[in-house]
Amino acid sequence: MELIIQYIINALSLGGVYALIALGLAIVFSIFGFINFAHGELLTLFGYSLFYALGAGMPFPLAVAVSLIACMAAAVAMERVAFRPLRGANPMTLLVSSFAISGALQVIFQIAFGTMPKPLILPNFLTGAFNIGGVYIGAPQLISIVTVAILALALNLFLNKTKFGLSLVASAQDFDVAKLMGIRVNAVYALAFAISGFLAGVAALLWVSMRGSVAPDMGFNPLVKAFVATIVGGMGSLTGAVAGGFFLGILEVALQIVLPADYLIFRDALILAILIGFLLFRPRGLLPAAAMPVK
Amino acid sequence: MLSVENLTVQYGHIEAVKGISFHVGEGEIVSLLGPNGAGKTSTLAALMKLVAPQSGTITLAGENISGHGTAQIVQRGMTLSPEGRRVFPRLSVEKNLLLGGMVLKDWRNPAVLERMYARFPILAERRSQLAGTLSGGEQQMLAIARALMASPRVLLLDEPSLGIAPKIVAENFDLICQLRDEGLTILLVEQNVFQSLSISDRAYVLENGRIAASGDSEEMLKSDLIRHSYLGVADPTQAA
Ligand SMILES: Nc1ncnc2c1ncn2[C@@H]1O[C@H](COP(=O)(O)OP(=O)(O)OP(=O)(O)O)[C@@H](O)[C@H]1O
Ligand SMILES: [Mg+2]
Repeated sequence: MELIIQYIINALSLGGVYALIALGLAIVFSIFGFINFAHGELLTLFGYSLFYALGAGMPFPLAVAVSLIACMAAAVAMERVAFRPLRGANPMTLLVSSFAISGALQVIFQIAFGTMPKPLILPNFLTGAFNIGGVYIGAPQLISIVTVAILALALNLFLNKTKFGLSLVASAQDFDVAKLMGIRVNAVYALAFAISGFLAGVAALLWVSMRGSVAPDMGFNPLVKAFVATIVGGMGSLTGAVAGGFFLGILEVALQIVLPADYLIFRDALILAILIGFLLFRPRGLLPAAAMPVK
Repeated sequence: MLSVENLTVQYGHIEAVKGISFHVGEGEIVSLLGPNGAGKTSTLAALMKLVAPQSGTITLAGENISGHGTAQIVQRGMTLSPEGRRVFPRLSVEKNLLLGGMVLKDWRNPAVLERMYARFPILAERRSQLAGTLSGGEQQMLAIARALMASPRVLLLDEPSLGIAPKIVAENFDLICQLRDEGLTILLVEQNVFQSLSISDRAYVLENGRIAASGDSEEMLKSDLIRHSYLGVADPTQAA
């Protein structure tokens, strides 16, 4: 019984991280129509920023705040420098550019910070474990679940109740008409990337507290999972991205349990195989974004 | 109120609007008529800067707004109810309206919303329904209401009777007259030539991106040319 609860907690926390990354991808996708593969490098950037901020003796909350801001600034800069000049281009072009940026950033990280993982010394509350009624629950797992729940609610409020949020939602539904409402295009572009950067930063914090180190390619694996999550959930649908993230977390933990140890190396390949099978039956995902009506 | 000089719109090699000039006086309804593909929607899109015109000077209430972006133009008091309604389908009626008034400082002012609901009681009933689930006529009403939320001085309407039941079309034309009586300046693009001529003060006929005729609506109602250009026949003598 205790074991089952632990598995559930693991699946939910891992799924939560994927959900946050997938949300960031989905927000950008809903506005621009492409998956930003360089999103994973924002996670890496957050990791190194946290590593060096802590190394410089900053208190933990300040280091997190600084790294979050760095992550959002990098996301906005990415849009400004790399994607904005391509405005109006085919989403395919944007997708390929994001691959290029991702690759370039990974090389830059390797040159600047070395290829070896760097251990992160995190405060005890992030690495310890709680004993709740005989069940040991890792702090990162618990914090991850709580954080994802709070962020999902906050994002929902932001998108539904605030001027910026509503502008973003309207732009995702009909960009031309959003302009007619007096919404400024550049502000919406920057906002979409800033939010995706923020979500990437929080996801990175949870991710590094689970793995305990930072490395130049640490963003790649979770990005691929989150990418699969957005496809499974239905491209561009925010609820779908969250659902897809949790689906993938559960799937990954389930495979971890049922696969014999010798076969564990095939886990990710199996996940992709299941994705392909899934797409054969639900090509538009679990919760597809409603199709735009023909005008 | 609104005056346009030598407006040109090109899409690649296609010249959709070829240096047209026209004006709309304060409190006037002016019809912009013409067959499919004449360049009516392109003209409105250029006025709102949804497309960048190749040339042209646009003056709104004495101010040259040629260099302004869409957001600034909306703030200066000109809004568009676009062709095909284009409500935000997966947002509630109320959010569609709020978006329309977003350029205002207190965009969530309940008084503005209530005034709009008083004018459009059906929208009040449907306020929390998704706009995409409204009937075509209701969506058109919402599109106009949304364009009114920013309290414009000049309202551009692109085919408000497109694909709508005749009874609702008549109501729409009544509404347009009522708005004019309240002091709004209106540029009306229509395929429904006879009805729009009968409510407008003046009219321009656009053909192949050029103004082929213009004048008093009442006089135009009597002229043969209008019937022919409405039918898309370039030379009325040939058709006869
Ligand atoms: N985005 C675009 N790209 C290329 N050509 C366009 C574009 N929009 C319009 N056109 C062309 O410009 C010309 C004028 O089109 P426009 O939509 O302005 O006509 P319209 O008078 O509004 O017609 P309708 O009565 O059918 O709405 C047409 O030949 C059309 O094919
Ligand atoms: Mg048109």
